[in-house]
Parts: sequence; structure tokens; C-alpha cells
Amino acid sequence: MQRAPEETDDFTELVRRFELPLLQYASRIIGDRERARDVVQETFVELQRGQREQLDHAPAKWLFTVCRNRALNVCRKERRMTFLDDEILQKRAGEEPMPNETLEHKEAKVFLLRIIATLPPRQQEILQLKFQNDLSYQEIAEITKLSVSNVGVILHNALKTLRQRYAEASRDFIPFTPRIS
Amino acid sequence: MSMNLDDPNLTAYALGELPEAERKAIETAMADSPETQAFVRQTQETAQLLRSEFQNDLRDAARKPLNIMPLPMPRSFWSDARWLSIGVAALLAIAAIIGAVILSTRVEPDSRPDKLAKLSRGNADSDVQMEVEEVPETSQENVGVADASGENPFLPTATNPVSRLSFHVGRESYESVRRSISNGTKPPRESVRLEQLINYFSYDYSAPLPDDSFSINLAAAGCPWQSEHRIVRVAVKAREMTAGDQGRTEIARGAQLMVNFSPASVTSYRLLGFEDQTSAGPRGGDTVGAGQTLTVLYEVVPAGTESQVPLVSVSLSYYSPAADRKFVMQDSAVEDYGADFERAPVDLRFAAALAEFGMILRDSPHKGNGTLAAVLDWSNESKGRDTAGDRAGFIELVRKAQTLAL
Repeated sequence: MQRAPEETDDFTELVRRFELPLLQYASRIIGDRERARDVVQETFVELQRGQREQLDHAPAKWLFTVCRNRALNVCRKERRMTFLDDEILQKRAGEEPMPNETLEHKEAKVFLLRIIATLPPRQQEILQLKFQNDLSYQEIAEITKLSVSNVGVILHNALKTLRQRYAEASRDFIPFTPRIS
Repeated sequence: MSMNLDDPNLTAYALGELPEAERKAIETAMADSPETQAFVRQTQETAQLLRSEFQNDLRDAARKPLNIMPLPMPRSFWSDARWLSIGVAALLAIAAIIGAVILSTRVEPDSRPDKLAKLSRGNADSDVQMEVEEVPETSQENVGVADASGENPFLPTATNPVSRLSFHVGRESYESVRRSISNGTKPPRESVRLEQLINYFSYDYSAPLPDDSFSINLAAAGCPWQSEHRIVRVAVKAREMTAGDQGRTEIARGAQLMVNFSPASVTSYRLLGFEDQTSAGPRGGDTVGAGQTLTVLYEVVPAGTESQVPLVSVSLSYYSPAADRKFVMQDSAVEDYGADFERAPVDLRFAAALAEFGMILRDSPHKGNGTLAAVLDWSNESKGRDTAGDRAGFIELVRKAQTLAL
């Protein structure tokens, strides 16, 4: 039987696995990668500080939750406009693309990730949690403090809009073959 | 029976999120609804595509070397070796993410609806024709008339958001300048070409990703001769020849760089050098050799707003080697995090030192407050590994220039 991994190895493994996804996630919330990097570091520091037992069963949920809270704190402290502020979210009524994010330029790239950037922020967040990090509805609901059915509705709408825009983009702009590894 | 395709449960089903009982119910209901089956299949395909794209995003982020972010100020907990390694890894990641995503798209010649399609169709017929027709749209966008000093002016982003360049750049100017200074004379103004000074040197840019022919290396930092301005470095490196490439004579043809400035973050910009291209338009049809690099500097007047829009986005288009002869585009973008010049990548700093050296020799109206002494400092500090020893040669040249009291 294999020896249980040492604590440090365990930690290193978590960093290896979650560092980039957390960074991408925090960057999307804060809109500033330098701050996002700080947030991810703080998240791992908090992990070091002993909240280990909460981690054992669901490290992803714990890490994304802590990372998200810290990212939102940064936004509040620095009075950054973050797409996850409820106030902003409500103003935007949820379904309209952000003003600067419509596909205005004809030569604009039709890459899927760029189309994602035209979706409402909450949809972007949930797509990222679902498809970059393979989290379940349940986990996403806990991280984002939404109900499971709410997550389901948002994801459903996001995919629907995405498919439409993707089809439009493919028809109107330069067709492309996604690079699948 | 027909089902409501706007039922979020269908999406949940397609993604395997439904509990057993509900899953069964949906399976029964959709058994005789081809429409629903198609919806589920499409949802799964979209999901697969999304996973793949998000994975590419992470993979690119992980692979891209540090070429944008300067090292951060040391922090206390970084003294722990573990944190150092995490930090470095994080920086590598950030550097890549800033470039947003480099994805490449391969477009079949006839599928492009615009001018490029015509271009490519010509291309499919014969090489001879290609040489003629491939000359890219000689867009007027950045054909700014050089000012009285014979140099590119600052162009307002609102009216000139795009700067286009081909890979064509000579190297003679550096040798000519070196000759003059070694002979104790001031180089004639017109012999000093900034882009040639900069591109005379080799830089340590990242290698292209396996599927790409080029890497795009973007960076932004404070402008050392004009503290209100920023420097943006756009650098491209072609793939090195490997053993498998025996007999291949080229990497790409008709490579053209399209640099888009964002009016939200850039008020105006000035291309350093390349006056031949800005007066006549970028050349087409040039062949790019293996391992070749192109380094372009822009001096940028920032809009001063806290914009999170990238400063510039860059598209590189080219025809890949004759074997498949496809039109390819690669994209990248850089945001500005307000990095100081001192913390910029060494290659950016060394290129900036060369540019300012050239501007001083030309007595350019754009030389700002730089001096030969400052150029000497910058180049000393950005000498890097200098395996070829040519950076040391430049430093000597600056010292010599100082004695000439130019």
C-alpha cells in the first residue's frame, strides 16, 4: 500500500491543480490580473493556515469559494466595478450584453471565448465554473450562493445564447475550425 | 410528443446533472421527439467545445513564458522557497493570460467572405500569381505622412486605430552607424533607422506553440524618455527549423502584422521607425525565415482612464508553407498594468535603449529627455545573457558616441 502523501505534497498538488483555474476565475471577477494573482496567493495562504479539514472532501468548492470572496473584497475595497455586484447586476437586468462587449467589429474574432465575453457576467462566471473546472450544479450553487435551479436556468440560457451567437458569428464573420487538442 | 426545449432540465439532462428518476423521465419523454434529441446532442457538443476551449485557455496560460509581467516587488512570505515557486508559476500564468487567448484559426481559402477570399483564391492557382496577388490590402490606415523630421508622427487612435507592418526590415543602418561612430564622425541623420537598429539584435522571445508558426510577444511599460507615455513592444518570432523540417525553405509568406489600438485606452501612438513602410504601405510577399524575429516599438499616449480594455490587440496573418498553403491568423492582446520601465522585460528595455540612441543621433523631436548617459544605463541594465556578445558591442558604441559630443 502506498504511503499517504505528505502534507506538503498534498498542498503542492492542490496548487498545481487549482492555481491557473483560480487565477482565471479571479481575473474575470476583478478584471485585473495583478490583483487576481494576489487573491490566489492569499487563498493558498489561507489554505496553509489550517483550514485543511474543510478541504478534504471538496477542495474545489472550498478554494473557489474563498477565492471568490477575496476577489469580491478587493473589488469592494478598491471600489472597482465588478460584474458580480448585485447592484450592477440588477441594473443590467441580466440578459443584455455589456455595452462594450457586443460584437461590433466585423473582423472581430469569432473565437468561442470571445463570444463568451459578450454574455452577461453571471453567465460567464457559471460557464467558467462548469466547463473550465468541471464543477457540478450543486457545487456552483454553493460557491455563488445561488440555488441549484437558478444555476440550471442561468446555464441553460447561457448555452442557448452562446449557440445563437456562435452560429451568427460563424455565418457572418470568418468561419473557423476550433483547435481541439 | 413535443417537449419544451426551453426547459432548463433538458440542459441539466444533457450535462448529466439530473438525478436518476428525472433522468429516466426525460429519456422516456424524448424517445419519440427527434427535436429534443437533437437539442440534447447540440448541447453536449457545445459543452464539449466549451471544455476544449477553456482547456486551451488554461494550457496556453500555462505554457506561455513570462514576457509581459515584470517581477513583482518581493514580499515577505515569498522568502519561503515554496512561495517563490508558486509565485513564479503564477507569473508565468499571468503573462499568458494577459495575452488573453492565442488561438489560431485556419481558414480555407474560399470560405472567407471578404477581400481575403479573393486574395486566397488567387493564391490557390499558382505561386507566381500568389506573389502578385498576395500583396495584402495596402490599407491606408497607418500611412501617416512622416513629419518634417522624416519620422512618424503621433497618430490619433480615434482616426487611425490600426497599424500594419510586414516582416521586411533591413539591418544595414546599425552597421553604418557603427562605422561612422568608430571613425569618429556623427552618422548622417538619414542613415539612422530606428527599426533597423532595434532589429539588428537578437532577442530571447518565446518559441511558438506546437501548432503555430509564430509566437507573439507583447509587453507594455513606462516610456523612459517621456514619463507620461507608455512603450508597447510587439514582437514576433517564427518557428525555428527542426530536424523534421529538412528541405523546407520557408516558414511563411506574406506575413503581416496588424496592431489594433484601443481608443478606450490609447489616445494616440507613434510607431518608432519603419518610415519606409508607413510612407509606401507595408510590403507583401516577403518570405519569413525560420527563427526570424521582428520587434516593433510604439510610444503610446495613454487615455488616462482606468480602462480594462487591452491597450493593443495584435493579429498576425500569413500563408503557411506551400505544402498546405492556408491562410492563417494568430491573435494576441496586451493590457497595461502600469509597469515601470525598470521592471519591464530586458529585451524591451534593450530595444528601447536602441530606439532612444537612434533618436538622439537623429536629434529627433521625439527623443524626449533621454541622454546618451541614460541610454548607457538602460543598455547596461538590460544586457541580459548576451551570448552573442553583440549587446556588449552596443554598449561600447554608446560610450564611444559620448566622447564625440554629438
